[in-house]
Amino acid sequence: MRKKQTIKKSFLYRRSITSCTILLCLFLTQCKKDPFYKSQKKVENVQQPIIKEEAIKKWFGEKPLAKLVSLDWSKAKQGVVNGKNVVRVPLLNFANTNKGNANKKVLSSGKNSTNDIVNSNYYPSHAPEMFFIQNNNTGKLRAYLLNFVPINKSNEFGENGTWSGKLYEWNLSGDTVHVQDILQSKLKERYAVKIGDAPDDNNGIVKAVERISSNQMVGTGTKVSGIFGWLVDVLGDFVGWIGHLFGLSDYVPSTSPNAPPGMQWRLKDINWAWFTDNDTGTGEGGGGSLYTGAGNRIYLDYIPGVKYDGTNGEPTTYDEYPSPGGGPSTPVTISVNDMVAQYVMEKLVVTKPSVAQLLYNRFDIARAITDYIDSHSMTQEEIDFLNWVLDYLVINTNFDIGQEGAFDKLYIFKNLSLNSNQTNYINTISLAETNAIREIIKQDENINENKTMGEAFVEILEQEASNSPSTEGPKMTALINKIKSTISLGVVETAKLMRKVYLNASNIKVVKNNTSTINTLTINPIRSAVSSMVNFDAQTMGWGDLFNIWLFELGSYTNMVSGSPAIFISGNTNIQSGNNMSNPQTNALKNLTSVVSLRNTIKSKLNLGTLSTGNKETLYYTYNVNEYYGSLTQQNIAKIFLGSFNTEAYVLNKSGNSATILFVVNNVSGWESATRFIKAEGGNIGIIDDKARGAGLNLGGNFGQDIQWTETITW
Amino acid sequence: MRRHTIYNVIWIGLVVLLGSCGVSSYSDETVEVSDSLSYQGLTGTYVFKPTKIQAERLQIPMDSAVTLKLENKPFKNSKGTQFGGTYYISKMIFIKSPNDNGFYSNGWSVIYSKDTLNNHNANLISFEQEIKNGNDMSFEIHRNKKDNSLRILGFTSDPKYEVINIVDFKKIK
Repeated sequence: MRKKQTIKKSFLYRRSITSCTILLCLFLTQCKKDPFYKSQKKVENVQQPIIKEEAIKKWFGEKPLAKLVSLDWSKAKQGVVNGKNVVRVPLLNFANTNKGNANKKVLSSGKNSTNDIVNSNYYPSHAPEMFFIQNNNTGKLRAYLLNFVPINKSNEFGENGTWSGKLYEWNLSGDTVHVQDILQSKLKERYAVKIGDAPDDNNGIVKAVERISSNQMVGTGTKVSGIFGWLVDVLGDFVGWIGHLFGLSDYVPSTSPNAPPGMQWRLKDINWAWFTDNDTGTGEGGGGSLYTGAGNRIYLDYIPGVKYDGTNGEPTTYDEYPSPGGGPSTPVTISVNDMVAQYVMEKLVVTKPSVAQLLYNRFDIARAITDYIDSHSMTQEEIDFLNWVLDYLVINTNFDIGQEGAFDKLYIFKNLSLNSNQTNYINTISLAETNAIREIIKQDENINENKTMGEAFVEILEQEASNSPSTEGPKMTALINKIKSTISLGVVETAKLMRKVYLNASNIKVVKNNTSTINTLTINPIRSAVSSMVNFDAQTMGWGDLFNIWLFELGSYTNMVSGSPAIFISGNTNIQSGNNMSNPQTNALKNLTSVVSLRNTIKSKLNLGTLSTGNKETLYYTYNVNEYYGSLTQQNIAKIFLGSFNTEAYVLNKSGNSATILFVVNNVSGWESATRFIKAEGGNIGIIDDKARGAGLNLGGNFGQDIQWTETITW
Repeated sequence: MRRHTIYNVIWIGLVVLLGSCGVSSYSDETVEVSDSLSYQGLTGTYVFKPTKIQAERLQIPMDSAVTLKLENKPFKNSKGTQFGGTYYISKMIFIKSPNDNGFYSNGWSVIYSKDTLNNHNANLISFEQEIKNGNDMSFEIHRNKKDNSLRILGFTSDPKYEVINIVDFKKIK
């Protein structure tokens, strides 16, 4: 389920330009005997907290991952570099704290064995550090976690200002870590690494990391929204790996009793004493909020390059790591599971105790919801959906949230009224079939129509699956009634609805690979119901009847027009004359523009003597956008149905100033021509291919019309 | 929102063309001449350069240029609704399946068709020819929207009775 993140180059470029420049400068200066405060850059001594606590608190609030980081605020330093406020804080070492020294203020829960815990990339002499960097002008705060991992911890690890190794930089948000490869204090290479597929062992993790060359680095700043970037396979994936880089996590063999099945990397439970109001510490500064729990005086005590003794206001020589005193003595443990639950509750504004309990008790659900949140744009509609999902799961505890297409199935449950058999059926179907049904619901904004359609399809599919398709169910009846009522609204509305039915049935057909079943259970009952509404008498039928005969493939015709079964309409029919039609003058075929023009041509040529018995005149009529709007205004169903067509006129006999003319209109109706205008719009969307009548789904197969009548023309 | 827009487009297409039909690009460039034309305006030289599809349909090279000249040879029918003259065409393409597309000459005529019922008046031009299985086209006279110059558009159909624009003569002088 985990998705590889798309690289957004422009985004990274903007982000990295700022952060890399600042951090590279910071690091390079740091690599010379911690020159943060010996830099040639302008460094101002500051005697007050230069970054307000509220700003840092806000940043922590926006970065759930930051809560994984236990900072040693007792060793915090601050300064102003090139107009930017900088606070740097080293990290605590979990591994050390877990070795039973209960007196240390830096604690993890300590409930697991410590024998297999090795934070191999944590070097106390140069601990990983958080850098908080605030723009003085805008107040915008950024934070980066840096760790230097030496090639050899005993050699060129800062002695005499010489460094060889890798400096890792991470913003605690994205899935990309920036790396600067340093050899003897010189930058050899700069690149980024992204997490790849889930590895299966320690080496695999390293291999799984997609290395991105320096050329591509500007494009690697993909940010992963919210919690997704670090809770994707929390214990075996990116966080574990990245935590390892930064001395945060432990490697636990999958065989370890402490490891969740199939997972190797494990983040230790976090001591939140330093970051939460739950601090019950008794020391100086204890009981405060956020990092103030580590001692309220940190900003007063530690200033780059100087020591402020906090009593007389006089700066003195810098004392690197004096004890700040205070801090909590009792660790508070918050598990990763709880964090995921809290994340979901915060995002969805969960207030129901039953839902909260579900999230705390069911990590699989909380995590699945988290994944969904981070992979979707959280509109109000999505939030409502997820809240519905949680309500549903409170009741339906057996629903497998981990199954493929789980949320699609839930979407179906939310939007369709299904009985228990149909619900069970949806729980068993493939992802492809699930998607096909979901698309019926989502295809457009006509919610009720889509619901009717979706329920009918689910009904017949479930019936088919349970080998009980003999009777028409209530949902299918509802769809048929909908179609019948739509037919009474006219051909345009009917076309809209039936196009949807056809496309949905086509999608289901593809998934089920069973055309005859779809025809038998869905299309044919519709055709049968519509058939009773159609007048098949060629003499008295109207354009709506012709339309329905085409669309629903009704009737049986042996006559052919251009290779397609065709109806033969001859003589003084209603189609020709407009009799018994609404708007008869307009809808009479003999009155259509092309026929009138052809009649005028014939009359003129007969008058001139250039047309004789046996001669033929043809006129092709093109139906364009202007004609379309005109036909809508006129309610000219004849034009709408025929579209462009050709009319031929034969001079059967000529006598004096009179002649008998046979008019012949041939036309073939089909899906492709019905949807052709979409091509003209350049979209090529929604065009349905022509098909033969009786082939595939029994809707809209090519159907011809051969309409003839004679007229006596005088001049 | 985008989906909604797309469906609007779809429905325009669907309801327009339930039957067989087609739309050519000329419809965006020209407007059919609805007022009565005169000899003076119509006679002259026209040139047609086929598109790939038109060339294939007419079985002529795509890079060919067909010249059509309409000459004045006054005549009128008794009711004055028709007039015409002689046309000369460098390749005879006014036929369904050309078996001789060399130089050809015959009569042309224009009928001014008034259709009050549909409020549609048109100048329908015909090109006489004596070739067997011949003329299977109908012609309309249009004006370019840009420069008002005349164009003679010919239409025919494919086997499915889809109407297509098969020739497009543009007046050059």
